[in-house]
Amino acid sequence: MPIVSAQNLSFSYELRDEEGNVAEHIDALKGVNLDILAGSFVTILGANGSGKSTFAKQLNALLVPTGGTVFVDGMNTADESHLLDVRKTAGMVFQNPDNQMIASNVEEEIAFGPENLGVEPDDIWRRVDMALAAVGMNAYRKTSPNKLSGGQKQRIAIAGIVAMEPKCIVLDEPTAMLDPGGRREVIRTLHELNEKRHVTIILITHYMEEVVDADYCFVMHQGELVMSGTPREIFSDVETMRRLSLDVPQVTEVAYELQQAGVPLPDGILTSEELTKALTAVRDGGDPAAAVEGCRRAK
Amino acid sequence: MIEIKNLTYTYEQGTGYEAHALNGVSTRIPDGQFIGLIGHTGSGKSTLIQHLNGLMKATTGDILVDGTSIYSEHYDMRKLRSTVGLVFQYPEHQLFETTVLKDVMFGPKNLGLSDDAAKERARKALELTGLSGERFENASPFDLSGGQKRRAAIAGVLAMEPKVLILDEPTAGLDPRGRDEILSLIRDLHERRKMTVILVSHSMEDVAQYVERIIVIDSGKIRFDGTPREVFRHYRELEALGLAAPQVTYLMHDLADAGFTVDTDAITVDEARDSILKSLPQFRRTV
Repeated sequence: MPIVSAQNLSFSYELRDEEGNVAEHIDALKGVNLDILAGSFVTILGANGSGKSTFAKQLNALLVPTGGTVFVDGMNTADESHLLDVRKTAGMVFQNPDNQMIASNVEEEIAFGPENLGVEPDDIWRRVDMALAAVGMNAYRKTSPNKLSGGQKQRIAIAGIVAMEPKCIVLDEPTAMLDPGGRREVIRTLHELNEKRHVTIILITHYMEEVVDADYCFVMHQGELVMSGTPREIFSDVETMRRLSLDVPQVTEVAYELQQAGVPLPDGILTSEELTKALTAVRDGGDPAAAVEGCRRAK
Repeated sequence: MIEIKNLTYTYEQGTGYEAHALNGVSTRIPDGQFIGLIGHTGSGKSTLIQHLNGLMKATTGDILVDGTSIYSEHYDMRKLRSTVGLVFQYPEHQLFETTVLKDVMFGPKNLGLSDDAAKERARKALELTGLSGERFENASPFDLSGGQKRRAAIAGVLAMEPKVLILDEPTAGLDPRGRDEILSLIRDLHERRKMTVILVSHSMEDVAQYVERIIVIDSGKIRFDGTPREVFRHYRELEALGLAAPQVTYLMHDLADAGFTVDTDAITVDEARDSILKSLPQFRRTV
């Protein structure tokens, strides 16, 4: 069973002027159908205004559909009796870690969520330990959050969600404000949570290189789901991605440019390793497609 | 020209929490240069740029703008703030007026300009940022798209007609198209208006693509200063500082390790493509 299932999901709202008259009718989501498998690592791409953040907010019932249905772990998000359970199942992390910090030290920050859920004190401390270990921040448990770097703060925000033991974490551009080191830390943490603890990760991002290692990718445009597939499938279509105001990873772009110059490379090269193997095959008279295939199977 | 001389900024001086945000920074910024300023969060880069337009005052050291110390008596700080324009992170959060035109006029009016003169400057600034015409002028800033809002906020700084433009992560949170729009706008201001530009960025790819000089800050000190090619040669050291090199740099090193004769200093997609084509005998002539 999918952990998230959107069925013909629509969401619209009205903008009102100062007199309270309807000024504009906005369709932020238009009939989105998608399933996300439990335990997978998926990414959602889309230009600003494509509806991806509106979609994310549907997953823990911050917003509920105005048309269609969203099921989270089998629960209909529009059913108010499920509200708490939906939020326990799908936790959310936002862009700016500073807006998400409230406590005076890291362990209290992480304890806040489970405490609010009414978890027994002994169990809260077990969960804090577990969450700190999961994001690799044990050494900082007594530190004040304002002494941490951006990447560390964001890992604490993630730990605060992990402590609620959700099956699924939704992250809306969690690396947009971070330096390269902070981005690496956060993305590595997410992959570890996914691999070791089997938490479903739903990552919204504008950084194409963060998509490369995902299992699956959805692309949104003007409120609709317009592409879905593995990162390799998505990034094989460089021109469509550009038309959607998006991009491809730099290595994919180099491969595409080489293809345009006549070098016989397969579509959808994602990593430096793949391109190096493919070019070695071109140079030595081998088969570049087979070389890329070999890289992929080795993983 | 801006000359920074042995600049130090100390927080909570004389207490147990004393910390140096800047620790002896010296450099020159000639007119018309396009500089990328990189460093991890907390490295001191935001502190440095806030010194350049007088928002923060150095604990020790000096800043000379066109030969005059900004810390000298009777120095005109108001003039400094219009000479050195600072665009903060997420500048669109500071939009507040009822129309885009009024918002952009706010700065020049604060400089003491008449309504008409402020309007003229605002229109010029909006044209530079691609938001000219009644459609934008009379729109509420809050009805613009994310990228347009950011350009409107930049127009507000440009309307002060600064000689030096400093931007703190102007592309954070924008989609790739919005990012390209802002960066080509900045490149235009540098090339056509000869503005000095200091771009603070966490995107190594953007810095590699656009700037002519990179300054790397760590622990309040300048660690590297040179052309992008020179600086990204130190990619291992940059990683240790919480930074990185553009993705193509890693590709070029992997190719060199696999026996290709490629330029490991290539830092943009175009440079990488040309260098790779040259290294493949059967495609050499296509470059």
